[in-house]
Parts: sequence; structure tokens; C-alpha cells
Amino acid sequence: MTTTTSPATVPAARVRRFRVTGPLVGTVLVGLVVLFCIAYPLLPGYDAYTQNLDKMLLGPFVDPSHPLGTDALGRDEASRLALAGRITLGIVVAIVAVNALIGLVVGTSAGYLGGKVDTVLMGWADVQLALPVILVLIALSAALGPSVWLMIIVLAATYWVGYARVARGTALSLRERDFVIAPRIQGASRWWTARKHIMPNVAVQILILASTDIGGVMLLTSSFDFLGLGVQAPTPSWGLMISEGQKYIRQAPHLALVPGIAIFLVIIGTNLISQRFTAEGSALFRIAKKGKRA
Amino acid sequence: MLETIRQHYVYNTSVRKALMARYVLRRLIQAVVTLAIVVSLTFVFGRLSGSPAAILLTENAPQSQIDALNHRLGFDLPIWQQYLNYMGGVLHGDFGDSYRQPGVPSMQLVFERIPASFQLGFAGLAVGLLLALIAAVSIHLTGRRSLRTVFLGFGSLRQAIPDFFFGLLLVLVFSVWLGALPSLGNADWRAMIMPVLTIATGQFVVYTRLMDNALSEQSVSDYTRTAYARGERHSTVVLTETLPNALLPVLTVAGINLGTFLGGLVIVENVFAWPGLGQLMLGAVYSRDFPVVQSALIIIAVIFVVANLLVDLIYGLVDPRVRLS
Repeated sequence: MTTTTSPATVPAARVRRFRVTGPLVGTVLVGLVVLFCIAYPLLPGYDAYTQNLDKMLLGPFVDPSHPLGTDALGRDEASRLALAGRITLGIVVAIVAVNALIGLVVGTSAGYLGGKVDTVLMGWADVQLALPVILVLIALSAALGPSVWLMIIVLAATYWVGYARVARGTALSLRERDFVIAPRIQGASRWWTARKHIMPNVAVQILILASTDIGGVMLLTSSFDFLGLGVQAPTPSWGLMISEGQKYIRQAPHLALVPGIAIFLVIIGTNLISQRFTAEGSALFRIAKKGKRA
Repeated sequence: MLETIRQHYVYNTSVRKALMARYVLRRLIQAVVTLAIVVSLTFVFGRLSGSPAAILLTENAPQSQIDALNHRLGFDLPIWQQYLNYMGGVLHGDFGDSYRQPGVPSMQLVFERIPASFQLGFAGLAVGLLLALIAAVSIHLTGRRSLRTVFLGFGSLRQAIPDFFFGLLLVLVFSVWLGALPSLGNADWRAMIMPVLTIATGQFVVYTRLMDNALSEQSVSDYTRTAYARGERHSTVVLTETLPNALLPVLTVAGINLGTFLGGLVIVENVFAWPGLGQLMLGAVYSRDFPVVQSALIIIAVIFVVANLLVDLIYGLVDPRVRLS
């Protein structure tokens, strides 16, 4: 009876230090991966397509002209990694951006205008919760044939609900504030006020959420690529590279390991960055959380 | 006086029973509506692709052959009649034949795969929950923050690795380097270890966090303080007082997460070539065998709805507040 476990409280100083180091490390990790993907194709040794059957399945660091080795067709693994990275990251950022934009517009209108828009939005949001994206994607891929556009559309149509909820919550908390009511009294229309005074404030929240979401979306898209439901074969992506690497896991494990590590670095990086906002006491997060609950 | 109390008791139990019956009925109706929506949605998805003749026949098949196939599959009827036929078939247990294996009911193919998926999913979830339970209880029994840091730290690392890549890492270590475990199939019980581990470690994080939070919440409540005041030992309080209450949210979250969980199962089955529902579905996607995917989705929806119904009913039994609201 001497030791009562209190909900463990971490000393404030340690939290503060972690909140700075964690995001810093995360930014560096993501930054390095992105830098590699952007810069490597600009270097002279870059060639993602030429096949060389004399140099199949080379290990990393064996041949100086192929720093990360070669794949089953003798193509340079480092170049493939950079090209696939550009494609993978491009798709992820595009999906997040589209979702954030739809969520921003729909959520703000629902929260600020209220009424029917609000009812419909929240009803749809509840349906979304019970619908696993992967099963929807499998059903549509079976009907229409798998393609990267289908994956992007399915993810864009389902993922915005989270953003809409946050936007709605923030808009709700802003609608009675003086700076929002004042222009209305002076005769500004509701849409003008929503655009001019509500959206900029909501956008900050959405941007934060979007930056922390990149890891989660990357996890989804690379899983779909791996299963063959996303990016299709001649175009490389990290998920596809892993699924090709699985075939050669005995002879050349680096083919699966290298893109896997890239995915891991991006996800752990964005997760670390998001700690800046999820740590308790962060004022921004408190608003975002309130929005989610509303 | 005694008579009044007796009457009151009889009245109360009968009211309770009536309320419970109404609650069950309402949930049953909800379940049926959900299933009807899923079945209709899969119908719509199926028709999005147009006539299956383009997929099933060779490119330059004569028009007569296309017409014959469309007629056999009922694709020459107006869309509303196709829908009615399909729904009628579903009510009679006819979910359509596989496109790729003509004459074989798609539902039969699905049923053949259910045991393997069930075995893997159940084992993975059970091991994950058990590990999470052990982790959360050990944090609170010892009262050590360092334990929590270790478990949740391991958890966030695991969460940054997609399931399919984690599975491959296990294959690399245990099959390729150590040669200890078979890397695919389900021929031998040892083949189950890696897929179960992949699922369990993924689930571990979610439920450790959940139970740890719930235990923390319960540990500062009034009834816990009363238990300490009675002179109960710390371990007794955690195990007999706070733990049962901390398990309730696990039930709810497990029910809600079931859909995502089954989706994740598809991925793991494909990494380890586990002959379950997920592998069947993906194979059917590649061969454009829509009826098989359709039947599999309907079965998954049934599993989801029944499991959530059970969760709600169990919840109603364990926690009386639910029924009355």
C-alpha cells in the first residue's frame, strides 16, 4: 500500500527538451531522405533504367559505380531508390494536400454555416470510420482494374474526413469571436467572413495536421503499392521495390531492405515532428483536439 | 410494505427485460440495414466495370458470343432488374458463380478460406491483447515509468514500420539468416509464428496505450481511493478493482477496429502466402474475378456486424448503464 501509482507525470524540463530534440531529429531524417530523392538524379552517375545483365543483384558498396548495388535486371539501386522516392513522396504529398484542401473547405463551411451541411458532413464522417480504405480499394480495383489513379481517388475521397472534423471544430470555436462578428455587423456577407477571417485561422490547424499525416498516408500507399493496388509495375515506387525485393530476399536482401529503410525513416521522422504538436501543453494541439472531439 | 417492495422489484425487472429486448431489437435492425447497404454497394461497384464480357472473352470474340455471355449472366436486363435479381439471389444464398472458375459458386471459394483467416486473425489478436495486458498491468503493478517508456518506445518504432515490411524483416532474420522458421504457407504450426508475431506486435501498441490510459484514469477515481483506505494491497486494487473497469474500452475499440484489422490481415496473408480470405481476394483482383471479391466483402461485413453486435450485447450485460440510455 506504500506505492500508489499515480498517472506518471514526466518532469516538465524533460518534456520540453524532448519536444525540441524529437522534432529536430525528425526534420533532419525526413530532410535527408527528401534531399537524396531530389538531388541524386541530378548527379552524373544517375541512371534508373539501363539494364546490365552482367551486373545483376550486386550487393551494396561492391561496385563504386553502384553504391547501393543493383537489382535483378542490373539497374542501379540508388537511382531506382531516388526515382521511386520522388514518385512515392509526390503521391503522398498530393493525397495529403487534396485531402487537406477538401477538409478545410467542407469543415469550415460545416462549422461556420452549420445547419444541413453540418448534419450531412458528420453523418458521412461516421460512415467513414467504419469503412476500411483497403477493402474499398480492393472492391473498386476488382471492378475497374488496379491503377495508381484509383488509389489516389479512393484515398482522396476517404481521408479528408479527419481534416474536416478539425476544421469544423476550430470554425465552431471561432464563430462567436469578436473579430468574426464585427465585419458581419458592418454588412459583410457570411462567405466573405468565412473566407477572410475563419479560413486563415483554420488553415493553420490543417497545415499542422497535414504535416503529421504524411507518415500515416505513406504507410497506406506503400502497403497498397506492395499489394499491387497502387503504382503499377514499370513505374517504380518504394512499396513496389519491396515487393520485387521479396522475390530475391535470399540472394540480395538489400533490394527489400533499402526502400524499407527509406519508408521507415520518413514515417518515424514525421512521427517525431508531430510530437511537437501532440505533446500536452501545446496550445495549438489543445484547439485541434477540441475540434476532433466536437 | 414488503408486498410493495416485491411489486416494485417485479415491475423493475420486467421493465428492464422490456428495455433490454428493445435494445437488442434496435441493434438487430441496424445490423440488417448495414448489411443491406454493403450488399447494394458491392452491386454498384460490380456494375461500374460494365459488362464482364470484355474481361472474360478474348479480344476479338464475335458479337454473338458476347451476347450469349451477357445473356447467361443477366447483363442484358435493365439495371433495376439486375439489382432485384441479385438481391433475390442473395436472399436465397446465391451470390453468383466465379467468373474464372465457371460453375463454382463464389461463396464456396470464400468459405474454403475462412478457417485459415480466422485461425490467423484470432491468434494474432489474442497474442497481441495478451501482451498488451501483461505490459499495461506490469506498468501499473510496479509503478515504473521506465517500463512505460520502454513499451511505448518499442511501440512507436513498430508503428513506423509497415506490416508488410515488418513481416519481411522477420522472414529475413528467422528464415534466411537463422533458417529456423518456414517463410510461407500454413503447412506446419511453426509457419504461424511469424504472421502471428507481425499482427500481434502491430496490435500490441494500440491496446497497451489504451489499457495504460484506462488504468491511469481508474487509479485516481473515488472507488480506488476507498479500496486503499480499506487497507487493500496495491496489487489487489489494480487486479481486482481497476483492471475490470479498464478492460471495457478495450472491448469497444476492438469492435470498432475490426474492419481495419481485417484489412490489415489481407496484407499479412499476402506477405506470408497464408491461404486465407485476403490472399483469395487479392488473387481475384488480379484476375478480375469480381463475384469472388464481392462474396468475400459480404462475408467480412457479416463478421464485422456480428462482432459489433456481440460487443454491444456483452457491453450491455457488463455495464447496465448502456441499456437504459
